[in-house]
Amino acid sequence: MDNMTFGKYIPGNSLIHRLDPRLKICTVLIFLIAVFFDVGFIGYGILAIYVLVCILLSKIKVSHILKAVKPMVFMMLFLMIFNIFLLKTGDVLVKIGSISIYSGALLQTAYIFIRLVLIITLTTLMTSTTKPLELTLAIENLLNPLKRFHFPVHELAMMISIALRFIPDLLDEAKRIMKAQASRGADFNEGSFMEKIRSIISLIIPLFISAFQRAEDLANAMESRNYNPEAKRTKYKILSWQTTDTLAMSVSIIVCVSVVIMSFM
Amino acid sequence: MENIIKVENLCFEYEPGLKTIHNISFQIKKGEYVAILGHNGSGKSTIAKLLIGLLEKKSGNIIIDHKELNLENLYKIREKIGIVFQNPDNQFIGATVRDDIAFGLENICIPREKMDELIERYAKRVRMDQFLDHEPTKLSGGQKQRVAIAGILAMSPSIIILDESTSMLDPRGRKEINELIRELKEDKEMTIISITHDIEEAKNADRILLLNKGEIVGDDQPETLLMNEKLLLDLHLDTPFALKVSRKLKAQGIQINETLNVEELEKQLCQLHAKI
Amino acid sequence: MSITCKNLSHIYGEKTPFEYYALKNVNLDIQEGSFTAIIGQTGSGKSTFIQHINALLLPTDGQITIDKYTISSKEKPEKLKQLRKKSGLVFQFPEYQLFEETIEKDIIFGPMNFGTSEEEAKEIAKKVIKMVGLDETYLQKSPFDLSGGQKRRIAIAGILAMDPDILVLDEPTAGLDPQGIREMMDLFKSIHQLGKTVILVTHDMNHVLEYCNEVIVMNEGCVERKGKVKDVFKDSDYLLNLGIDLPLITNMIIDLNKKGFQLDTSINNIDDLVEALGGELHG
Repeated sequence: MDNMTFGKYIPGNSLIHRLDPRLKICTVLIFLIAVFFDVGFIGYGILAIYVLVCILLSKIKVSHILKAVKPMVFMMLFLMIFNIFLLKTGDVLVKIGSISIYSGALLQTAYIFIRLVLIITLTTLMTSTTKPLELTLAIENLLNPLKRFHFPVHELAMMISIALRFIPDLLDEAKRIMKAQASRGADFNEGSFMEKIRSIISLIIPLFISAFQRAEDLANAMESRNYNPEAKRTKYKILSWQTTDTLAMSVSIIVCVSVVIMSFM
Repeated sequence: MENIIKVENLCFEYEPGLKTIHNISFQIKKGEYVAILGHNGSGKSTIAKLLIGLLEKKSGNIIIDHKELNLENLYKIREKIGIVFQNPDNQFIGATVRDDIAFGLENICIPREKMDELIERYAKRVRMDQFLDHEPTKLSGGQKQRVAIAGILAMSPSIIILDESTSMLDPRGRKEINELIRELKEDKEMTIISITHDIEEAKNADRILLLNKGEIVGDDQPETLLMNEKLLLDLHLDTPFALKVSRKLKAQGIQINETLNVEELEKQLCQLHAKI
Repeated sequence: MSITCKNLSHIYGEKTPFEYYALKNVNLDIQEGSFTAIIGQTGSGKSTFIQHINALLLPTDGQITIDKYTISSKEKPEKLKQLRKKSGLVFQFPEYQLFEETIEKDIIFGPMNFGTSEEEAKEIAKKVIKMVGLDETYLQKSPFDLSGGQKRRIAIAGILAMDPDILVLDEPTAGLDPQGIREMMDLFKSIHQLGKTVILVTHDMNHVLEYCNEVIVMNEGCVERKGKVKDVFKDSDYLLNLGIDLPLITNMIIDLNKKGFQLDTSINNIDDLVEALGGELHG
């Protein structure tokens, strides 16, 4: 669990850090759509340059962002192997026994690889440059119109921000319980299937008990500080949209839309 | 001084028949510093939860600042009372110190423009102004409890309850919190209720309510109540160190007055020593 | 079972932006059969160190030898499990590790993981529950119906059931009331008297003075001092500098000695203190 550092917020004061979180979420969404068009290698090249420029502007090391791709490599390989052997479009390139590999399959696989890498890097860049709380705030803000349909936007945002606040605590707790049980001889890595099940039970039950205890304490603390989700509350954190945000948004839209349009020409 | 808290014949049970709080009555004056002392399971934390309306009484009355605590004015009364709980982690709601103090202010609808000033003022008050943008994982237990106190003070209540707020802290954290409580006491503006099983902490209070099995078995000044060694030991508590030493010296025939205070004891000993 | 550390270091999050040296070049040995206290500020590396005694953490550099098991950064330790049986570690707030439906099942979890038969483990459970001051009738109860202090005893019984030679305790009295603390400390004293090595991490110097014979002072990941309790507590200025409070008794003795008394700073209980004071005042 120590290596779960990628995607974590890295404090900074770069242009990218200062951008409005709403803009960042919208950009990632637009980018996501653009990436799933068949924009061709030139298109993907332009998008990759766009991502690279964003990373450079954020002053975060490219290698750090790329680390986030690493855990996905296994899944990608898996996907790629399936693709290569199962897709049958284009010309036959190689023939090994009864299995043939088609050019279309290779192309498709390359596209999938590029798409995943682009999406992961941009999303990682977003979470690395935006405080979780700001993202929550942005989600609440973007979902605000749904309030009209009695969608509990505020409650949802509160839930997300509390979850974010307690994830590190619960991870610590899990680590602690695992160690405590390991010192009682529980084996989380080796041992028979039944032994493993028992070890996992010895982790899960205390973890749940502690999580419920925390939830109760937290509810008490919130209530005693006069929290009432139904009542009117003022807001401390508000988002303010700057001219830079408008400009950044325009650049993103222009890049994405032109790449998509290019792919149709 | 007028009574700010009046509790009359209060009863509460978690399960029918299990009398967690049994027919308790007491009053607390405005600006008073009262310690509620009792061993674990004596019902002392239950009293705190009843006072702030987190638990509903079975019978009896709780009157806070001339208003009876009931479902209608629950939120009005909670504006008057703040509580610091035991576990520093489980009461830190915001993502940073700043946000955590703001949480309470949002709840009582303080206009946004006024928040920063309040946050900064009370963070300074608890000496956490250098840490405003820190996340809770980077703070010590004592620092988190100080933030909790700032969050409460910023809501300007007239009563603050400390529910074993120092029991999970290391000595440094404990000292920091006790220091803050002493300062609050000197201001004489705030009514302080400290729930504890620590004798050395309780001896600083103006008055001690001694609790056992959900009943009040002692209500007096520390100087009187803490002298009763037998009662304290019967209640699974301890006696202050200075008292133990002065009693034993007296039993040895040394001319010494019983005291709760180490400094006072040392002074007496030095005077005796000088005479030899 | 003695413990020896040679240049033991531990780094958290090595080669990441969050890298942190928790232990720096620790050299020490802990004698078999001692009652050793480890003291120091929060964050001084105490918890990291004791987790090495149980091989829950492995050294980043250097090595630790516990009895015949040597664990170093270079080799993968093969017999972690046997080592864990030999050294029982009681974490802070151990009541949170209870998970079985009956106390008996929870106590036998440890021994059975180490290969003890169920029959035998149940016999052990009967023995250890008495050691922690509860009786056999508790065995069939649910641990979750007990009070906080009792739960903690059950958790400790679960460690004692493994019959470790070394018992490591991380702030075992945190959150207990005065009577609970007294009973808990007396329990450890009786365990020590059985010939076991007891290592106690604590912030309460009164306990160190009253119960322990050796003390290790940690500061910023280093072992700064190590020795007999009475010798280490003599240097009050040093401890106060580290933010460590002196025991009430020692503090009073030092105060009085500054004002002309000549009391022995190694006094570790109230009765001896009163006797010594009586001796001086009666002339």
